[in-house]
Amino acid sequence: MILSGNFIAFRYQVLGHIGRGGMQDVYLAHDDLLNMNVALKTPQPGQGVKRFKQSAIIAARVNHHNVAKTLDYLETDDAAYLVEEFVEGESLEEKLKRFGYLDPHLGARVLHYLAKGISASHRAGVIHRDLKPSNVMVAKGVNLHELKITDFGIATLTEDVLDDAAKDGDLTRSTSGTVKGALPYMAPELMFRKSGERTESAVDIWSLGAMMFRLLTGKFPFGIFLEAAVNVKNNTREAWPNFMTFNPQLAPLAKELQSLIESCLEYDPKLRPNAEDLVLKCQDLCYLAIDREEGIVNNLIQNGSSGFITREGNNAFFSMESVYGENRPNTSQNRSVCFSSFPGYPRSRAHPIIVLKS
Amino acid sequence: MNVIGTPVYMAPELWKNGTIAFDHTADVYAFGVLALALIYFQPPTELMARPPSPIMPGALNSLLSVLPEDIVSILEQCLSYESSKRPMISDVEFILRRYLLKDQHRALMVMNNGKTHEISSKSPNAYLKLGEIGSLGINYDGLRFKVTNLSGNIYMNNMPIKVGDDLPLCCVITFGDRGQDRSFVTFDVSNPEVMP
Repeated sequence: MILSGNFIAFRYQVLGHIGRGGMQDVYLAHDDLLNMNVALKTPQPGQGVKRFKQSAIIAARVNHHNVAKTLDYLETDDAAYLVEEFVEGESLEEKLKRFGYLDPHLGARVLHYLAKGISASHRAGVIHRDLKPSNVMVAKGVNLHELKITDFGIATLTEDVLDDAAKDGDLTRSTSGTVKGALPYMAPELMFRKSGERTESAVDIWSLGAMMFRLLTGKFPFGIFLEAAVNVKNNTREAWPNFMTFNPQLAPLAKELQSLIESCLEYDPKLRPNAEDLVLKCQDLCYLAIDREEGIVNNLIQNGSSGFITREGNNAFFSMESVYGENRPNTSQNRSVCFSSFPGYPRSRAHPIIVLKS
Repeated sequence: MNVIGTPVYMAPELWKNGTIAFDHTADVYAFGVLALALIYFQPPTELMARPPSPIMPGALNSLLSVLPEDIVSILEQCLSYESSKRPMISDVEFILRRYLLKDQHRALMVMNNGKTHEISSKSPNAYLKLGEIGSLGINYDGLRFKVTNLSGNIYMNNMPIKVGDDLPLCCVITFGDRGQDRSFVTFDVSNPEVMP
């Protein structure tokens, strides 16, 4: 563990430990030369420096707004470090705790950003192989802007770990934390591959589909750990929940998303769209590109069929017709909501609305 | 001279002796010159002079045979001699984007019963009628979604609308007045991008 205040290479001042991946420790550091915060990653004991360096070289090839940029790589006497663009916010995994699941408009925006980032990396010949919500960073708040996929660097590490696991026999029985964490989102051809067998970029498309399923439903499409492997093998996916198509005004977009995600979860990698196709399809989705707000429901009127939300500035009006998801807003447990607002008289109108968990 | 820059691309205010004052609009001017260079357009002689002098209104009009009027006009504004008359670069970007993405938008109007109307360049007209409350016609000309006909009390984001108005890329359309049995239709447009 590096202590806060320590300097790495006389340039990066460590400000704190902010995370631990399967194979690396992540620190928030300040680049004193360029005067900006960065993420400083270093392999955990037992992880080879050579692999780590190789992963940095590969990650550095990707340049895109939706991919955290690799800024530097350095080795000191006792360790290797990768310096990456820092996103001040949380991972999508953490956002899910707050949202439960995303409504179709916000979900389409996230899918669009993810597809763009993956498309840029595939164009550069870089496959991620370990896409999951905890590897995607987003800015604070409910807008999910500034979305950046991180850890492209560990693509090769992942491959090595997977290869080792495959050599030991059955990858799905691996005790490796990385393998376990990746299983819920892992493509079948990667999960059941033999040692040395190559996998293509379509593995990322499967992971994107599995990740989007989780973001839109709150559920793992195939379960977790070994259960995921069994369910992928038997082709038993969780069904889409009814709430996704329950609101008639949001159902058309929800159905388009479902069919896009199903195409990503095709068993035959050749039948999946490539990332570029997906970007084009996302461009065609009619999702709200206006910002999201948070507020607190303060009153219900008309026998509970509509109500008001306290937010910055004036209160907003909402109708239950605009609510998405299983939970109805109320003035007790379900009072924290996320919405977009449209000008209206005498109050702005909130649409769509989802209940936040906290 | 103490200014560093590339002649022709340098805005007039940069061609001064002693202390010069300039702001971000010098970049807008340079953008205008760059745009002409990229399309091999021989710049007006006033622009080539060192220092440059004001160009005549309509100096770029010969471009009208190859470029939309909106674009020619904003390029001419970029080259304004007076820096305060140059547009914001975001306005220039908006107009260029609109034309680069011509015909690529798709709009989905969803009534509160789930009935949908789709508008795109393939099917550019939609007509919505809600009982006796009113009706609304919308056309997509590849650049904008415009109101083509209207009857009854219909509001866009609670503002009255009239024939010829543009619809914003996302809005709520209300059929009916307050106190009446109101109905809400959502109007959402897709998000095509110039550079994904």
